[in-house]
Amino acid sequence: MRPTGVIVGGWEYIIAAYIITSVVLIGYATSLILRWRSSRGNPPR
Amino acid sequence: MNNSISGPSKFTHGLGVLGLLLLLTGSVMGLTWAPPEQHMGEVSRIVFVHVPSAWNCLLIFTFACGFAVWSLWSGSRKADSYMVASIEVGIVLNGLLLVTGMLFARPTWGIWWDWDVRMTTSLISLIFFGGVLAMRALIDDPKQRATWSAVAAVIGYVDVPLIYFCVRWWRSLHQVQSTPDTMSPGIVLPMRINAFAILFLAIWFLSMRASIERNRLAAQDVDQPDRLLEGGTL
Repeated sequence: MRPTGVIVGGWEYIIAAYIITSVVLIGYATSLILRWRSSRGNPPR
Repeated sequence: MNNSISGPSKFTHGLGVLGLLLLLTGSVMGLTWAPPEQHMGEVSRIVFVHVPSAWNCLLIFTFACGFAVWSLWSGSRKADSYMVASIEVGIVLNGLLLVTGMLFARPTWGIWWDWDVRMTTSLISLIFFGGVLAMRALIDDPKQRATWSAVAAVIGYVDVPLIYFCVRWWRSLHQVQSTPDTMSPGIVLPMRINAFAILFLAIWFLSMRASIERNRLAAQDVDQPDRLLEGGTL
């Protein structure tokens, strides 16, 4: 195949980047909600 | 001394929800609507999460430095709570920018990691601010904890302008900053949407984390009333 100078494919890296971003942001938001509830004196259910 | 329960306002909660909706919109646009970059192809779609995380990380560390100066100036617990919140949120975004950057580096540079000046200064900020949080956990006295961590945060902030300008000042594998003039409009729009999305989410994170810190300090005051005499102002 003749090189075109354009990177071909790479969707596995794109999907990994978006999944990791979602997991980190949602995970951090969940940890904040749980810690905030616990700091108010209401342990998480 | 105000020991009431603290929490974010309805406006801040609304900002968090708006941030989430914008992030969904910007990401779907980035994955489907935006054109692939002419040399990097489809892989360039990683920029829609990588670059907004990086911008907001630097902005939130700038907030941390501002709150640290306010804390040192006033001894205010509110300033200390916002400073620790900014550091923690900054660390989350710093971790994200490094991981998404590595996922971008592998297909474009052919390597996961290089001791390139941009990557190295970004790693230094993660380790340094992580160290500030670790140090806070080791100091019992709230006033001493606030002072020491504020001084450390101001020192650590020296790395933040370096992260931004290093690609202009030194030879680097990492490209220099693009501008809207050098990018296709199809790339600029999802990038801006995700930048505001992560900013709004970061403000919600910051507000929640600062409330947690203030509630913890208030609970400490109830458990150990003698500390009321030592603690700073609210």
